[in-house]
Amino acid sequence: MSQPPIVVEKLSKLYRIGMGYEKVEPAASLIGRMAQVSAGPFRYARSKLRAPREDELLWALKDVSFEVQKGEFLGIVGHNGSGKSTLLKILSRITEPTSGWAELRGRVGSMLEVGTGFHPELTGRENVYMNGAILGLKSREIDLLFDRIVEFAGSRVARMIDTPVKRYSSGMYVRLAFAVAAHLEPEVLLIDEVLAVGDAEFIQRSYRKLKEASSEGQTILFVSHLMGSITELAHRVVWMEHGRIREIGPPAETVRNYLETMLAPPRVSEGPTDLGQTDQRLGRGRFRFRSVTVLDRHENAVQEVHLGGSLDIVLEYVCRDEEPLSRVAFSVGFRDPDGQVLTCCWTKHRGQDFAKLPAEGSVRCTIGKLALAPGRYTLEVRGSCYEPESELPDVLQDEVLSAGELTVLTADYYRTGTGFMGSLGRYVCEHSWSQSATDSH
Amino acid sequence: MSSESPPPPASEHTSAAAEEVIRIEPRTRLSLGLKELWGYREMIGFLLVRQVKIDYRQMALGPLWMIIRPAAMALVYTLIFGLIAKLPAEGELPYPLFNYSAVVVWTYFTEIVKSSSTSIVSFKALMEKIYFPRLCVPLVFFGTSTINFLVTLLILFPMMIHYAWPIGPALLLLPVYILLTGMLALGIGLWCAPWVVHYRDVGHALDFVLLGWMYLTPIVYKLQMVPEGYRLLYRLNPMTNIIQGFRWSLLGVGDPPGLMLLYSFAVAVILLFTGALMFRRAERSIVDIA
Repeated sequence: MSQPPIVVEKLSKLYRIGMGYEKVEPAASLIGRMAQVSAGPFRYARSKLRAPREDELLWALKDVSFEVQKGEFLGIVGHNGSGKSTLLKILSRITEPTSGWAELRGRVGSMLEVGTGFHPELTGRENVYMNGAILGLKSREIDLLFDRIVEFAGSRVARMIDTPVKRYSSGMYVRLAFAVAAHLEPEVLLIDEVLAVGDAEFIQRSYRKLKEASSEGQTILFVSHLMGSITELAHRVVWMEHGRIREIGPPAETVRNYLETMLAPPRVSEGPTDLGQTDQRLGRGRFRFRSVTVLDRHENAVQEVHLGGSLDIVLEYVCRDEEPLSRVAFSVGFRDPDGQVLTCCWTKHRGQDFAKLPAEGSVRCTIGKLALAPGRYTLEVRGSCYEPESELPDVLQDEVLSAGELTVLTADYYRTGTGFMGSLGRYVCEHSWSQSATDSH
Repeated sequence: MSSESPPPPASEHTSAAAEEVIRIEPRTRLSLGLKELWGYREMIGFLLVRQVKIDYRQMALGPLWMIIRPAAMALVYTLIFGLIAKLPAEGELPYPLFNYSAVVVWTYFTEIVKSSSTSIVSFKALMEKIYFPRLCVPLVFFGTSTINFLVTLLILFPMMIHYAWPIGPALLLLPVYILLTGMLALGIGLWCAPWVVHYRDVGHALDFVLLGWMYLTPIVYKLQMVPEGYRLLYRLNPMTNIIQGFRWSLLGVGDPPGLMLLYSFAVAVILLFTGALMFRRAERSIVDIA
């Protein structure tokens, strides 16, 4: 039995971050400044030559070990800075590990970020041949694959195949780069997060191609933020965190676990948003909001909530003249960064205006399952009440348009192992799918 | 089939290549990795051809520039040093011929030093994305500079015919001098390359060093003008001996091969070898810094 095509053993990579080149305030006098400038190179050299301090060192990768079998499709997930890309860089020999080792069997093709291994001045055609040459293919072998590569990359690329790639759009770049990587058929293929740039149709085609390749015995390492595609394509998933492997296992399970914690503990807020001092407000002012607090289901004040989570919004108010209020209505709106109010919770909608309220106190709005897409929202609060002297049934008393911030974090809303991303839309709605054949009598 | 017989040639995409094992680990021992480099000869050749194309692609005059540059330099030197300062050429040699023959060698030398010392910086984008032995890049520049140099030689011969200057059998040694220049320049370039990555200032400093060096080399004047007492010291500059030898081989003036040429050869070999090692040592971390 042959060895697995990828063996990684205790691989680690230490980076020195921050060069510790301390900034010097410019001296006031010309002489002093000249002295500083001439000392500059020495300061610079010293900062580079001295041993790095503890806090300047970062283990981008620490004791990572795993094996990948022939024909296996391994997905890698993790936060930015979790070491995914460093791992791929080491495996593709762009950079060297600090300790540990890895063994790859067979030719290795890699696609790290957009435009992998393309020389901007060369034409698409020349880059195809150059990449082939780097992979160790003879130009005669590339001749045979060339037409298929261009066909896969699509007609727009085909038209510009003899144009320097620096004139390509990033989409075309990726199309050609992927076509090259997939068709030159290396035994091991390392792909880092590149397909997100292409259009949907091309991405689908690429996934099919990758699936096909791994079923034909190509071993694939695939880093992606697209949990759906990882779950669909991978045989196993590695979940990386702080340069280490946190978990390695079946895709659906690992991705679900990852999403649940990536959705990390929401940030605790410093307390209620104090509105006592704000003068950016409207209304008659019979009562004013004093604070707005978002509470999670454990009654902790938070700034972040998960999509689908429950939360309470507590509005604290105080009256101007120590008189109780009657027929009071409140509302809380959620505004996105574009200024669009996405939804609003209003006592009137629920028929829950407060008939009588004490001169000082708080009201609470409970949201059972938050269906706003991940993103940042500004809370706006409004309060109104009945005024005996007014003819109107309801007079606005206080309105604060920036009464706090709420960040909705992505989560596995539907419990299917796919996180809902803000780019997919603004709302999440409960739904299900069914199917039926067309009835032809 | 007996067990000793070599395995049958397998089809390209199956077993034959599958046994190629790449081991990735921190390098503890310095080696030149020449075997691996040889495996990438196709790529070096490819890049070489493309680099030449790129060099000429966006130029209306194309390869003519390769001749215009040293020719313009020689013209300026001839005007200033030959006509105004009236520096004598060696023996009966016309000054333009005397000067141009050395200018082409010097241009070749500086071109390799500069391009190979900046090779990491100029190929950074590619190096960040794809693996190949990094030494390929300076070798490619070595190749393109050599091609450019050979082009500049092409007008040296018409010049010699114009001045009716005879060619002797020593011409057969010309490739030796060319190779020697290239090796020396590549060695220096490889030494500088890691420094250029860390400190871009080195690139600027190098320009000045090369300019000063040129005037310490008998290019616009003849070696005999250097005071007798300093001449040995002067010959410690390896380029002096190479230029003298190049002129001897091509024009019959200067010095025939001797001990000092052997000295230049030794310097070139040592610089090239140690430079390649330095480059290999630096290539491990250049992507993290550049």
